[in-house]
Amino acid sequence: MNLKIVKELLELIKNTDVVEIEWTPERIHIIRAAGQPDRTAARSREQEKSRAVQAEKPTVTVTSPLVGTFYRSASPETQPFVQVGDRVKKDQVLCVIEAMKLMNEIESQIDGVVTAILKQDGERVGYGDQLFIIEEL
Amino acid sequence: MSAWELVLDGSYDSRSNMARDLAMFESVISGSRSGVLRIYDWSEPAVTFGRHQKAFTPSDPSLHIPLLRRPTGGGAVLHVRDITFSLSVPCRGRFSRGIEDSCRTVTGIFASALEHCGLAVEMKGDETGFSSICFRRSSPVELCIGGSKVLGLAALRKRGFMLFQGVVPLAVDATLSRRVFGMEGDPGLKGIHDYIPGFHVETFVSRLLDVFASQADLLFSHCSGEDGQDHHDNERKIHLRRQEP
Repeated sequence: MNLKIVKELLELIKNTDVVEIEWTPERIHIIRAAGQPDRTAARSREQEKSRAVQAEKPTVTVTSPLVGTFYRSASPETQPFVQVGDRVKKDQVLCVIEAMKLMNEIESQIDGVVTAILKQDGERVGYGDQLFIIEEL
Repeated sequence: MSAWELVLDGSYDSRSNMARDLAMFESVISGSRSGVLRIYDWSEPAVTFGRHQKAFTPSDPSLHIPLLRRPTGGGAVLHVRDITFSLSVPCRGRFSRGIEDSCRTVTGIFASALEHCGLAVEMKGDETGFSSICFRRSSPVELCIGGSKVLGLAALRKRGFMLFQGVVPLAVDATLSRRVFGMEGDPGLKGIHDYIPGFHVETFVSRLLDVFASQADLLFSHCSGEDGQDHHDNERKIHLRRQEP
C-alpha cells in the first residue's frame, strides 16, 4: 500500500466511529466502535459495497522481476510514465528498474487503468515486490 | 548461425552517435534487422552520462564540451579516443537468460578478443555501490586490468530486446579528464595503448568477429562502413577513422 492510499483512508474515517480498517486491493473491512449511530454504519456499508463493486473488475499486480532501483520516469527531467488513474495500453512502459547500470523497462501486460503505484521514485525494490495495480478495462 | 550486421560507423558528434545507437536498436525491435553491432568514434571529445543520473556538469565551468544522456544506465564517461560500441539484440538464444547474464556474454566476448590481442583482462567488479563517474568503479560485468577498468558496459532492456553500450578507452587525456571530473577523475585510469602501444583497432575488431562466431554462434555477414559500401565479413575491411585530439 502506498502512502497516498493510507492518507485517503485516514481522511475517510476521520470523525467517524471507525476504530479499525483493513484494506487490500480486493476488499475493505471496517470495524466500528460499539454503540454508535446507524448513520455512520450505513455510510461504511456503502463504502464497503462500493469497494466490493470495484473489486469485481479483475486487476493485475505488476511485480519487480529483479532487485534494483525503481524509477517512475525515463530520466530525472521528464514526467512520470504513468499516474494513478491513467489508462494504459498493453506493452506501455510503466517504470524503469535499474540494477548495476542495466535499465529494465517494465511494461503493462494488459489494457487497463492504473489504480495504485506502490513504490516511490528512486526506491530500492526487491525481486517480486509489488509495483503497480492495473485494473483491467 | 544467425547473420547479424556489423556497422563500422566512423566518427560522429555526440548527439548523432546516441541517435544512431537508438535508431539501430529500434530497427532491431521493429524486425528490419536481426541484430546490429555498431563500432564508432567521436568527431570531438564529449561526455555521456547515465539515463538516471542527475544532469552532469563539468568540474571546470569554462569547459565547453557536449554532454549527452545515454539511453542506458551507469555513470559519466569522457569520450576522447576509445573504441565505443553498441550492440542491439533480441532476448533470444545467448541473450535469453536475463540482462545480467547477457552482459556477461557480451563482456566475455570482448574479453576474449582483448586477450587475443595480448591483454590479460578480468571480470572483477564490485556488486555494491555506484559512482557518478563510470571508470571510477567497475561492476561484475565489466573488465579490468590490475584493478583499473578497461571496459565499461551499460544496457537497456525494452520489449524483449536489449541495447548494450560499451566503451574501451584507447588513450586517456588526463588534463581534459581533470577539467571534466575534477580531482574525482581517476588518476590511475589507463587506456589500452598504455598497456600495448602497438594495439591495432582493426586487428581487435577482426578478433571480435571471430569470437562472436565461436562463442555466441553469431556471424556478422556484412560490414557497412562509413563510405556507405557494404563489405562481406570475409573481406574484413575495417574503416574506422580516428580524429586525433
